[in-house]
Amino acid sequence: MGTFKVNYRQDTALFQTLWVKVWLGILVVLLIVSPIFLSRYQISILNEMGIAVIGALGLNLLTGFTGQISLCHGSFLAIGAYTSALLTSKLGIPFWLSFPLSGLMAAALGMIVAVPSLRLKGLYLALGTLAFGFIVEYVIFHWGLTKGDMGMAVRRISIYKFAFRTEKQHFYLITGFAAIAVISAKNIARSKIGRSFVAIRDRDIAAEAMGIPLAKYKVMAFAVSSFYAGVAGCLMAHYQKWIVPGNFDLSVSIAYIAMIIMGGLGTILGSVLGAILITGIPHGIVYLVDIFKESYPGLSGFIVDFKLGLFGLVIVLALLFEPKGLFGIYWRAKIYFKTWPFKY
Amino acid sequence: MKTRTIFLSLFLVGALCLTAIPAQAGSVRGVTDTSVKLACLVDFTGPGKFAGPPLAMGARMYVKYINDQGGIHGRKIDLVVEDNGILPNTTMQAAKKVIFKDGVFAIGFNLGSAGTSAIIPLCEDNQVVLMPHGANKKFYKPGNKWVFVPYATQFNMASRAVEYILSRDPKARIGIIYQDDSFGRDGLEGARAAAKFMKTRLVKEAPYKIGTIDMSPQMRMMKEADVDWILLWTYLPQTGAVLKERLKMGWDVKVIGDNTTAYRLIFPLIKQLAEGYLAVTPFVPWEDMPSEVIDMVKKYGDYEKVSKSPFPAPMYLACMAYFRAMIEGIKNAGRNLTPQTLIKGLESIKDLDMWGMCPNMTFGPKRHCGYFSSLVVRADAKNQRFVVVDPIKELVTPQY
Amino acid sequence: MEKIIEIVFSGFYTGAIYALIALGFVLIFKSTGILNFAQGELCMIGAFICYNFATLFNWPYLLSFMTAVAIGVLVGVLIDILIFRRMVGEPIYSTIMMTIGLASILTSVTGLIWGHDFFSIRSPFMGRTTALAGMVFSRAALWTLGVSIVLFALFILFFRKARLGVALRGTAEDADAAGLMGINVKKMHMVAWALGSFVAVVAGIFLAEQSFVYSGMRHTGIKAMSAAILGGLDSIGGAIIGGFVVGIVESFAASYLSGLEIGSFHFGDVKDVIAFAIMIVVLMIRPYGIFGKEKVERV
Repeated sequence: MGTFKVNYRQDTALFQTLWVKVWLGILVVLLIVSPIFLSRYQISILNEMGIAVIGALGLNLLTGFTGQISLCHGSFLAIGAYTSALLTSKLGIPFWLSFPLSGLMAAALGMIVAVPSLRLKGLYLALGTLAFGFIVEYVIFHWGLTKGDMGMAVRRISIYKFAFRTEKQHFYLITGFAAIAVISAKNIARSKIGRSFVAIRDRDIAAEAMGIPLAKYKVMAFAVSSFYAGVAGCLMAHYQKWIVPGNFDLSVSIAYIAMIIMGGLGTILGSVLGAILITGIPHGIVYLVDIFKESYPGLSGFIVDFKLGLFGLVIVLALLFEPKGLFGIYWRAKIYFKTWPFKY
Repeated sequence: MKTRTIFLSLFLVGALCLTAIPAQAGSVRGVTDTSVKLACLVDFTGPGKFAGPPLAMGARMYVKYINDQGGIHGRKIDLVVEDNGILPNTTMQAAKKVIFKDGVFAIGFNLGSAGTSAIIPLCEDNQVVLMPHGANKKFYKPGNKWVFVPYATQFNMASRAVEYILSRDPKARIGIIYQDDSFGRDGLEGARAAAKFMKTRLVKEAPYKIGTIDMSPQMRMMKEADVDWILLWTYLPQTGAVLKERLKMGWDVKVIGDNTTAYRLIFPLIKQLAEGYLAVTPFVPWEDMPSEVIDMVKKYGDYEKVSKSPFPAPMYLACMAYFRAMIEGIKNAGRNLTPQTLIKGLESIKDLDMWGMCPNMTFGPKRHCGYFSSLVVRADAKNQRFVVVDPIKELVTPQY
Repeated sequence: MEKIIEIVFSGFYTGAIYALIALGFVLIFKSTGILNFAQGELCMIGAFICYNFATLFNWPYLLSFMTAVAIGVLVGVLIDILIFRRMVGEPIYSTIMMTIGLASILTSVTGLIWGHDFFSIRSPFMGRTTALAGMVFSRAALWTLGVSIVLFALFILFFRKARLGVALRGTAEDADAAGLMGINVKKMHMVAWALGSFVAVVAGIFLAEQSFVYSGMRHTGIKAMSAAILGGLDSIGGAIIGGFVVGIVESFAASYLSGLEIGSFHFGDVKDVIAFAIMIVVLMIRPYGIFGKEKVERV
């Protein structure tokens, strides 16, 4: 029963057991062959999910691991998206260069937000980031360069002579990036940096007393988190080929928080599950409405009317009855099967 | 090491798949021998949700009328109404759903200008003709091959308002209060263009953010600039707030507004304060509707509901007019219906008869806006209706 | 001079509404530690209920006002019993997310019941004005200011003198100690929610008086949050002063900064963003607000 680790190397291994490796292998194979069986609509949903996974990982590193609440994750997506859009269209920089640059730009602004946040904690930090988000939205809205609320066109992704056109091609690219993001987030989490993050989250003053430089790691957490958001925004911009300020408003930041809370704070798997769930809810509603459209038009009309409320209801019920999120459910199920037929 | 090689080989397999899958070719999406699938994207859940039901009703009514006539070239119209939440993200999802899942041939109506610009690349990539509502000059100039605007834009209507004011009162001092987004700024630019063309200028320009309800600072700016006419490029609540403020200030300045306020909804909202309010709109008031339209609504629509007072009849009719244009294009395209022939068909529309409910429509290869003209109506608070004070008239200010 | 007076007066008018909403934030935050992001939605619901009685049922204005307040208080109590009583001791992000989820449910339900149009409350103040010392003031503004100032005075007295008010303050100070002293902490939380939604409903009705009843009015809630931050999230007097300050600053900014263009940057309407600029400045200089107390943490 259970796994026994006899040294630290095993405890911090990327893939802890053979089973994890097998399951991951199956997942990778599934991801590679799935576009052959799925329709274009379903692939486009997977693409959205892939981008959301990258963004949610970033937020989870900040909120779930370091305990810093951010209500402006959407703004960092916006900064990445607009940086890449402007670099590729105004300066003609190719995508492979603008992609990391957009992440770096977002990281730089994230560090600027982090500096005042060294004084702020908990709720006050949340409110400060909320205000920052509104100001970023205001600037994008009113600056001539970003073209206001009608938005601006973005070039399609092309790497050397190969241009990405179809949903399937985007799928491989986005999923590839998402996989890299997951692996590097896992690496950050299991290294010294990740452990410092967790120490800061659990008791920041105690962490400082133990010799973890608080300022350095808080700024680092913000930088890493906004780097993730920036590259997610960049991918989103080039995938949609048109961006407007409305793509990145407060509701996006809220959706990202919902993702990490519903998925499970402070877990990598949780960010992935949460991103899939929250991105999937509106599409699930679409499928539901289509099912009932013919037989119960009244019911499907009601679902459309109550769409926003449904999102709220899912969050409220989950927080009341399953505060650990999807990861908590997964964990319980795992324990249950491991210890079956004994109940602990 | 071993895992790494496994991963590497898997990625290679993926790369192979990437190149091996050919693009699917075949029949035209959304077109069969007996039907054409069209989408109508309106807002049922977002900030523009009050507009959703009347718009969808208008589209359904006209499609029912066409199908009752036997369809177009033997094909019935299959209408897909979808909620787009008016915001860019939700519009994107709705557009993807109707194009990829439902497989519609074209989008006959999409509410919201920011949302429209967000989905233009998607429509381009998938060869979908798109007709946006909440029309902006950018949609026809520089314009896009796939975008057609069967409605006057805010730019056109603001020019019309300024021309109307100057025709009455050549020395008028005009101020404008506009919503600080693409809707209001398009109006601002139209008003500026007309004023410049008529060799005058706007005395004062005051923006407000969407959702603002306290209009006293803007009105104070207007008062300070001592204007005779205030041009309002605002939504209904802000128009109401301005009229309330005007009364509070005891100021008899003349006010003229845009088409989003020319609905009977204004009467229960601000009662007698609406008296004498002018508005520019491309649609004739419901009470003056030509009999062809009335008969059609009686037969295929919900006449009782549409004619009852606060119902926003111009919205209903606007959505119907959009589908009239789209279906005329399909008719002109002939039996061989493809996205390309639809564009040809739409571009060959000349003087499409709208029975006098709004200006007739003309499109062309270089003209993707149906009409530029509009009329001026005045609110009659006692009878709770709008009265035409200046009929449909071509603009003198250049619109291209 | 007259212009300045007008600007200040309209600042006070909006400020009174902000102050009421900010007071709601503070009342709930002080005793339960929850920042209620659904405060604006409570305002909206209050306004819709008042509209329902005053306009649809044709009840007298004051009676509809009272009924709306009573129902609003009930909603607050229900929210506490159904949701937040179970959330005591949960981390901050959970409570924030919970109030946001609650906000979207309230908005949806309002839309289902009353629809999505704009409405106005039938009131004796609509479109009436009073001339004072050669200047014209709207009666709705005078009524709003009058009632809110009376309410503020009552609240301050309540927390100083009344037994319940002192008990509330005690709970806010230290819930455990208050419980040991025989104060029913659960009941105090309920009272805090009731009072919070009471001021929210009043603010909502005044807001509707200023303009209309519609679902977009809930956005005023977030702006009022900056007033609460300015005054200090745990100070009643601070929230009131913060509300007025934000109202007046907004009023001046709207009159002097809006519509400017510098290079390719179009200022547009600065009125809304100014509240958030205030919020950031306050958080950077004095995070606990002007009148708030800094909490000393133990390891």
